[in-house]
Parts: sequence; C-alpha cells; structure tokens
Amino acid sequence: MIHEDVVCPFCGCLCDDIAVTTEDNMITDVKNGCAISKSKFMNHHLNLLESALVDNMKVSLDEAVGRAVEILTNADNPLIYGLSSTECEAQRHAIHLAELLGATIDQTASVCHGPTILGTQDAGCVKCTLGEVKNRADLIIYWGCNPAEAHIRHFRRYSVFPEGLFRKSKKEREVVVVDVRNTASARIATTFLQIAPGTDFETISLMRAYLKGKGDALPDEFKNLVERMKRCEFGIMFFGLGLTMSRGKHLNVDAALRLVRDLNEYTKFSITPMRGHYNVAGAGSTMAWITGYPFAVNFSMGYPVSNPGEFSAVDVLARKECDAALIIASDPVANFPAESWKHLADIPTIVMDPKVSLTSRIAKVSIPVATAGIEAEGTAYRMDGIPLRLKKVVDTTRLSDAAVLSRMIEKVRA
Amino acid sequence: MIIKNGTVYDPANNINGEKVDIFIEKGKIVDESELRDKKEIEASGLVVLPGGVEIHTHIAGSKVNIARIMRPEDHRKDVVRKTPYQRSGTGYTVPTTFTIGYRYAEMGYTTVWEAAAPPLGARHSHEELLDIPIVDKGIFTLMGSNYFVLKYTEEGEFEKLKNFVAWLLHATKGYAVKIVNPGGVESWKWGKNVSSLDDTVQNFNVTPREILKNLARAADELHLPHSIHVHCNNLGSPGNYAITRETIEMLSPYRRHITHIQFNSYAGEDWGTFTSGGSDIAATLNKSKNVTCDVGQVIFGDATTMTADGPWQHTLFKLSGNKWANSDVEMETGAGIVPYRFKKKNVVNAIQWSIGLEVLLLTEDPYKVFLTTDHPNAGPFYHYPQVMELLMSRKKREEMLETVHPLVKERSVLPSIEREYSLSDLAVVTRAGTARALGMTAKGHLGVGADADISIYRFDEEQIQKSFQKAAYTIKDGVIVVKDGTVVADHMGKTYVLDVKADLSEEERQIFSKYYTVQVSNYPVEEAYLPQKEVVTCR
Amino acid sequence: MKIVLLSGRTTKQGVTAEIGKTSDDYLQNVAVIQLNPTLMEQMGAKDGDTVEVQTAHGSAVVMCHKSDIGENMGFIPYGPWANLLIGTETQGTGMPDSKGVEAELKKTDKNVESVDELLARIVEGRK
Ligand code: SF4
Ligand SMILES: [Zn+2]
Repeated sequence: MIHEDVVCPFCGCLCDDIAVTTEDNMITDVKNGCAISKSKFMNHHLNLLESALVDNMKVSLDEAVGRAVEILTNADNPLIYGLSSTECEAQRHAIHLAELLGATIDQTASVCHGPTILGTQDAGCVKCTLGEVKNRADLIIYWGCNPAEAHIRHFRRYSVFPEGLFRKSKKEREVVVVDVRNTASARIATTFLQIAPGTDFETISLMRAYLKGKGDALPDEFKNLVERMKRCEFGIMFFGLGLTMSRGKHLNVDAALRLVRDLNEYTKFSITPMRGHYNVAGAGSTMAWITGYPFAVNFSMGYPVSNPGEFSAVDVLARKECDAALIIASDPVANFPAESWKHLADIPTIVMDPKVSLTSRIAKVSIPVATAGIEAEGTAYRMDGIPLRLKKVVDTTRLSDAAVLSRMIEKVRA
Repeated sequence: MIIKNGTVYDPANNINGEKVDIFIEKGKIVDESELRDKKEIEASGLVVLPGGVEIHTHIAGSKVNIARIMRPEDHRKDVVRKTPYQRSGTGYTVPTTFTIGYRYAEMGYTTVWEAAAPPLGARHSHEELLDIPIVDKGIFTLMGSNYFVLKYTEEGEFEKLKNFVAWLLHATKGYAVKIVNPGGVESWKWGKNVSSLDDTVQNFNVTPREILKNLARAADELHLPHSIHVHCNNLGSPGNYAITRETIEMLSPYRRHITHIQFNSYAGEDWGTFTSGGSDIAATLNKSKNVTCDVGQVIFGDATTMTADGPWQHTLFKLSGNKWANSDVEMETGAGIVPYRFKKKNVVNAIQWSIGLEVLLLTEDPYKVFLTTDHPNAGPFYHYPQVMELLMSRKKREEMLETVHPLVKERSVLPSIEREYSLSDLAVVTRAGTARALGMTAKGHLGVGADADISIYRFDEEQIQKSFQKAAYTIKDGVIVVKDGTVVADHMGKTYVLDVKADLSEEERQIFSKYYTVQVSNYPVEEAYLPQKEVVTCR
Repeated sequence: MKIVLLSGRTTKQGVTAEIGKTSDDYLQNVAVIQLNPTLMEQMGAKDGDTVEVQTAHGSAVVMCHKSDIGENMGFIPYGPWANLLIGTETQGTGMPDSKGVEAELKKTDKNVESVDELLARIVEGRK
C-alpha cells in the first residue's frame, strides 16, 4: 500500500509530499524524502525501547505510568522538557500536566531558536510563509545556516530552485550565503561571504548603520550586499543557529530582525528562522496559546510565569533546581552540555520515547511510545508556522505520547 | 431548569422587560409542557438576556499567537490562577485561549467569532478553538486578496469564483467570507497598497471595487448565513469615511457587514485636521438597506493591533515606533501586529473614542450596528461593560468627555447626542442583532427552540459597568457555567461550520500544486479538529 | 593547537541518529572533528586519526577528518561528543555557548569513547 502526501516528521521543512509504501505493516519504501527522511521512516523500528522499564527492569506500561506519576507528584519542582518532536495534542497535554504539577516546562527551542524568540520579543519579526519566497523572492540570503545538510529540501522546495508564480527558476534569483565556514550550502550560492566566528553582531549592526548612511567601517562586499538588499523586489533572509548559538545570541538575532524591518522602507523584505525539529514551531505555538509564553515556563505559582535563563532546562539542570524530570520526545543527554547530564542522572528521570536514547540509558523510568507522524497522527507546525496533519502509516500497540500523557493527567487528578 | 421571575429582555421576540419564566430542557429553550428537570433559578430582581453573541474578535490563530509570543511584557500584568474548574493562563490584551473562554462567559457571552483566519492557517485557528472553553465559536475565512479570487475577478469568471469560495469555506471549515483591505494585502506583498476602490492591484488587472462586488454576490448566491464581512480599504487614515461610504453604497443591493467601522469613519485631511466622520457614516447606515456594521470602539489603555491589513500595520509601526510583526501568507493573505496604547489626552485617540460611540448612538436601528472593540485592536473585549455604561448613560459620557482631550468637543458631535440606550437596545447590539446578522437562528433570543445560552445580571442603573462585568449566572447549553461572575463548570462549546460542498477543477489543482508549498490533499482542515460541531445549512 | 570550535548539523548525523544513538554508525559520524588539512599536517595527524579536544568545560577524543574549513577552526557535529566541550552558562538566555568555543587540540593514541563509556565517565555512580 502506498500512502501519498505523507508529512515528514523530521525537520522544520515539514515536507508533505512523501510517498510511503507499506507491506504487512512494515515500511518498505520511501519516495520524495531526503536521506534523513528516508532514514527516519525506514529505521523507525530499529533500536526501539522494547518495554516499559523501571530501574532497568521490565514492567507493564501501567506500572511505568503509575511510577512516573508517583515520582512527579512527589517532586517539589519537577521539570518537563522536550516536546518538539511530537505532535501538538501531546504538547497540549504536557502543558496541562505541568500546570497540574506546578512544574517547570521547557521545550527544545531553548537550545536552538530560543534566542530568536527573545529577539522577536524585543524587535518584532517581519516574516512570510515559504511559498511567498518561492513565488516572489529575487534575493535569498542564508545566514549562519546550512540547509544542504540540515534542511535538505529547503532549496528545492521553497527557495532556490522551484518554479514560482513570479520567479520561474534559479536564474531569476540571487542566492547569498553568509557563514563562518565554506559549507555545502555555500556552494549553491551565487555569492558566498565568509565572516569570522563571533562577528555576526558587528557585521549586521554595521549593515544597519550603512543602511542609515553611517556604515563606513563596513567591508565593501557587505556594502554591496546592502545595496542589493535595498534594490531587490522581494528579499528574504533565512538564518540558523549560527546566529542563535554564537556569541551575542539573541542580540545577533535582534540586529538581523531590525535590519530586515528597516529594509521595508525601501522594498519588501522578510526574515524567517530555520527551525530545526519538525514541530518545534508547534511547541512554541501550543505553549504560547495556553500560557502566553513559548518556552521556559514555570507553574509553581498556580499560573504561568516565564523567564528564560531561570526556567530554561539547561539552567534548571545546571543549578540542580529540579528534583524530577519528564523528558518527552527529546534526548537532552545527547543535546545538552555534559555537565547537565549529571543532574538528570541524580534525580528520577522519566523518558517517553519510541527509541532507546542516551537519556533513556540513565533514566529511572522509560516509557515506549508510538512514533508521531509514522505510528500516530497529530498536528505539526512548519518552520514558517503552517500547520499540517501528521499521518499514521503503520499500526502499533504502543500508545501515542498524547495517550500516555492523558493517562498521567487522569492519575494526577484522581 | 426553570429561570423564574426574572425580568426578561428578548427583543427578537418583542419581550421588553417583562416577567417571563424560561424553561430549559436538554440545552434548549422549551415550552413549559416539555419541562422534565424542575431545578429552579430564582431570578426575581435580576435581568435575563440571551447569551451574548460576539460578531468580531481575534482570539485564535497565527496572528493572535504571534502577538502572544511577541508580548511577554503584556502577560505579566494579568495572570490567571488555576481553579478546580479553570485552567490557568494570562490575560491583558492578548489573553490565552482558556482565559478567553472564561472571560467571555463571565461577562455573559456564549458565542464568539474569530474574525480573520488565513486559509492556510485555518487548521491552527481551529486547533486553538479546541482550547477555548464554554463558548460556541467559529472562524471567518480571509479571501480579499486570495489568488484565485483575484484571478477569477480579473477574468470575469464569476461561476468559477463562486465555486472557489464554496470550496474554500469547506476546506477551511469557515463560516463567512472575510475581506480585509481588498487587493491592498496582495499589493503589500510588493510593499505597495491600494488607496481607492478603483486602484489596480499589483500584477492583477482588478480593483477593490470588483473584488468586493464579486465576493458579495457570491456570498448572497451561495446563501451564506452571514454576509461578506468587510474591513474597508484605507483603514486608519484621515478622510477614509468617504471610501467607507462609497463601499457601503456601491455594494447595494448585496448584503454586507462593515467591521470595526470606527477605524474607517475619519474625516479631515491629515493627522492635524483629523476629525470625526461618525455622523456621516451613521447617516449612510440609516438610509441603506442590507447593511450592518460593528464599531470597534476604542478603550483607553493598552491594546495590541492585529489585522490582515499588512500595509496599515506597517504604517502604524512607523507612527508608533513600537515593535512590529508582519506575516504574509502565500497565495492568500497577510497579517501585521503592533502593540498600541490609546491615550485620553492624545487628540486623535480621543476623537477615535468618540467616533465609535457616535456611530452606535446615531444609527437609528440597533439591528444595524453592533458593539465590538475589534478585540484586541481597539481594546480588550472584557471592557465591553465600560462601553455599555456610556451607551446607557449620557451623564457618564459627559463625565468621560471632561477627562479626554478637549478638542473632541469641537471635532465630534458626541457631546450633543442625547440618546441613551435602553436595555432592549443593548440586548440588540450585543445579542439579537449580531445573531441575526450572523444568521444564527438559535442564538440571540429566548424563544422556544433557541439554544439555552442565557445570561442573568444583577442590574443596577447606578452601576451599569459593574452590572455587566460579571454575570450573576451564565447558562450555556442549559448548564450553569458561571455563577456570581465565577466559572463553576468545565464545559466545551461547539464549532460552527457550513454545509457547503464544492470541488476544485483539474486546472485549479495544477495551479495549487505549483504555487502553494503544501499538497492540495493536505490543505482541507480534517474532521479531527471539529470534535463538537454544528453544521449550518445554507439556504 | 588552538582552534575555535564550531558545531552543527550534518546529513550523516541526521541519518544515523535515526538508526539509533547507540549505533556504531552514529558514533562513526558524530564522534568526529573536521579540520583544515594544513592544520592536520602541522599536528602530524592523518584522516581517521584520533585527536583530543580540550576546552574550559571538558575534553573529548574524536576522529579527525579533512575538510575545507578555515585553519583556525574545527567542526564537530551535534551530539554527545560536542557537548562534552561546552559549558552550561547561558547568560540568562537558556542557550549555552554552543558555537565559537575556544579549544586546544592535540593528537592522541586514546580511542574514541563509546556512548557507554561516555555515560560511565560523566554519570558514573550517580544513577
Ligand atoms: S527536508 Fe526535512 S522535512 Fe523535508 S524530507 Fe528532508 S528531513 Fe523531511
Ligand atoms: Zn478585526
């Protein structure tokens, strides 16, 4: 059986044209997806968490869920973290659970585009959907991101190569890559501009100054870039973790957001972050509509309070402030600074994941779940905020994240 | 359930302050003979109204949520604690979803309409509606700069346009055709705008006039329960009352609803000569048929402006210097968001405030003009009781006029208006009128067969605002959801959708797959987002 | 050798993480550092040799590969090995300094630690 137009549950491109072939409830072929997408679909059944575990002993799902709830309700300051690689209903339940527990809840944006959110809260954000780029952009800038390896079909589907309404091919588009290293993406660009690590803020700030007639110190190649930005008919800047993770962080993003904003005095210009996990945009969305804040929220007062740096997961772990953790669809032991693993090992950590992860290796309770987007349905939000319906292409006896979380909620309320 | 001895205002059924008992069974208002559950609410001394019906608000979907994400400073001013019946949240100008449901219900409102859903983001709007408790709800679908609408208008292909409108309402699970700055939103995608009904849209040989007429005709011919819902061109600009008047007049004889008309009733040439065009607009409304409007009344204090009118939001960003978000949507629409504060001593703001009241008071037929604040554009919805008081009391208006910029007295006729709303008038502009304009036959009245959505107030003529801020009871689907202004039940309302059905042609599918970035099969909102729906027949 | 450490996604990292983070494929593609050939020559390291990377926050042994990256830089794909080298300070943002950390590089005979060895070293005796 061939499932057409399946949404790929891997990266923020959220490609929705994947054709998945299944035979006897096994995925046997994947078409249209990139290498990573193929790997995700074809290997989703490998290295699974085979059973619910408590202290590495096999237990029933009910027992594991019961133990998890016991740990969470006995904790004074539990942390719920993850969310970006599962669907929105699970996220909504996770937020509800956090509220009931008076917990801290954070999602993976805090270690990818959290600084983008902070920048947006300061400066606003002039953005558009990816189809606007495909249909209109004649100048495309990728700054501090490497879609050739991280968002593999981005060029082909949304920006450089596709046929659009007003731009028919690559010939009608200028592509600029700015990065600290010559990446695979740089090779696709019509212009590659290399900057030294840690100089994004000064470069962008000088560009803003130059735009306002004061940027003499700006290198000529960037002066030239600003001129082209002013002259184009529809410009777009995509940016990645090159801005958010390097020195300056939200200030880098803030500068970029303001540069683009100011360019709208001259022409139409937009900016869009290259969100990583396929539903990290959804995690920010659900948290915002339920709590008002997209990440780093604490419920200990009985209402939501947000403060990145205080309630963000890395900080909470580094300061050893949480006394239990529930990790949903994420692997902080692979993704966080090693120092923060120690606290996750010290406290009772509960992991909900389809697969064995580094975090599940140190967890007290592991709960196997269905893989969202392959074995469970739900909503996911693309990097530009477009919501799409994830599909279920194979059956499983394992419960979805949403189902497990709603069982936990029932038990907490009981 | 029986609501006993209340003083009932049910203008749709010509009941005007009479003692009438109301009988409720299985969520509906019934004849006494059908009553089984004899539980009583003793309502003597209390005022009984149909549940409030909100015709235009921004409560769900991408632009609302961008505003939430962008404004942490806003949320901190107004936190909402969890209770046994209530989820926690934050309020202020862009409340969280749960808080929205509670606050409407606390005020006695039981039906609310999200007035601007971008079709490609409709799934998002519906997903947020799932987290808005108590009230019945639904969305209007943005169409005024849709590629297919522009294309078919340009080509003079009305039947194709009509079919597309039907398909889009079906695909987005929308209830009405929303038009924002027709054509201007498309032009904004190149940083441009339109400024008259006869300007041509960038890259399309069509004018706002043609777009409006075509969509109005389509909505009428499809027998949609609600007319087109229009945010006019030139919103926010001095002198724009002329284009508003022209829009109302040229659309005759089609049905049309002009939204937040206060923002489109400005006379004067520039900000210096800014003056009210409210009486002019009221005069136009008075002599026109098949037209309704809501006012978008200004509330002094903090607001968050958010519309699909991208170019206006950019202008507002430049005027205010506040942070600005823009969000353009491929093939369809756009949006902009700018925080704003309406100040009593700012002459323009003060005149804007007077205009909404002028239109509400000078429009003779209350079935033509409705109370909104275009939440949260002109202020948060939970300030409605403030406006109710000003409508019902000339004395309160005079007191307020003393506190605002003195030029209002010269540039607005508000000080000379004597009219005071009766409770019946008020029930029309917040219930009976909105329900009728929306074509919601079971809402806005208390006759047999109506939904048992009822609000009961401890009404005190001396304290009108306080009387309406917190309902003594709000009853939704026959369930007491609010008592003494506090939510006492965990209740979920329904989403309203239409029974329209239509298919895309092969050619449309091809255009779709080329120029959208999602597959056409993944575009329509799935039934999963409508766990509790009410399907309305178009006839 | 002093370098500035960069980290980021690679296709292989993405592909092999989906097989499993405890798989050898993953280790082969993530416990690596991309270096400029000139720098590798100066260190006397060949493609596939192991090097030890040391920062203020920790150390990691990874395999080195040639790439056309700048001479004063090294690139490690996201994953636990990269995370051995960064700190938890976020300057109030929630985001650690994941890119642009200064590091000291030297050739080594040590083997790349497996996931289990890593975990044992960091969380030993804690669980
Ligand atoms: S680019 Fe991203 S969303 Fe698209 S197929 Fe590849 S991994 Fe999936
Ligand atoms: Zn509005």
